[in-house]
Amino acid sequence: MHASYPVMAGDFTIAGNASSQIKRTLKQLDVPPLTIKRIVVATFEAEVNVIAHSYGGEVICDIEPDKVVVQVVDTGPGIPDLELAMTEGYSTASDELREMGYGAGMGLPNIKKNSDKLDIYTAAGDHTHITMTFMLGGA
Amino acid sequence: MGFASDLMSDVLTLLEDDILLITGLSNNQAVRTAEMSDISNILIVRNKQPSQAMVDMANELDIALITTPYSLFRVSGLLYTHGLESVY
Repeated sequence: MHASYPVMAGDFTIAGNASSQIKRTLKQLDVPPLTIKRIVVATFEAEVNVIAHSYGGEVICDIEPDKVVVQVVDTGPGIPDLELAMTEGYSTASDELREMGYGAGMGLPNIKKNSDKLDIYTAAGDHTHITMTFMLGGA
Repeated sequence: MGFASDLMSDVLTLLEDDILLITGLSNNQAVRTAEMSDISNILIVRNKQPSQAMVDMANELDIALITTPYSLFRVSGLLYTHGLESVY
């Protein structure tokens, strides 16, 4: 199954819409609850990142018999220092973002923790493309 | 089990199921985070009242919202004393 959802920059009222729809689909497919949670939490973190830090983008979800692949692609401006961004507690979030409960600097580390495989393409002045792979053990 | 935080990013690091989320964050993001983390009970502290939009969203997702005038610290202490365990 292939589906894609647009994500608008700066619009927190719709934050989680893509992740929510993916969650519904995975439930219908009887994916184990803990696997759903890992997929949905990682996707939600990445979705919030697009809203908070990018010019906008999309979430692309591919569900295959043995795995779920979620790609989160934005149109820029890219992450200048990925290693730093992967550090727990490091954050460039605005005060506005912190007031909404985000910006603890746990986004990318949490995405890494929840996915079985994580590939990130990014460069300052370019865009960011995150590919998260989740294995469906025995399903 | 219970977990108290105003930071949704911290809530999202938990993999435990069906915990009580105790928070001073009274906005849609708290409900969204609960949805993603399979949390069905949110206790909102410091007498903050949820907006109608937040109530509607919680209704739709079958999430209960509870409010208390107590502080996060006080209500966490009370619940812990009465047997609610901590996540870690």
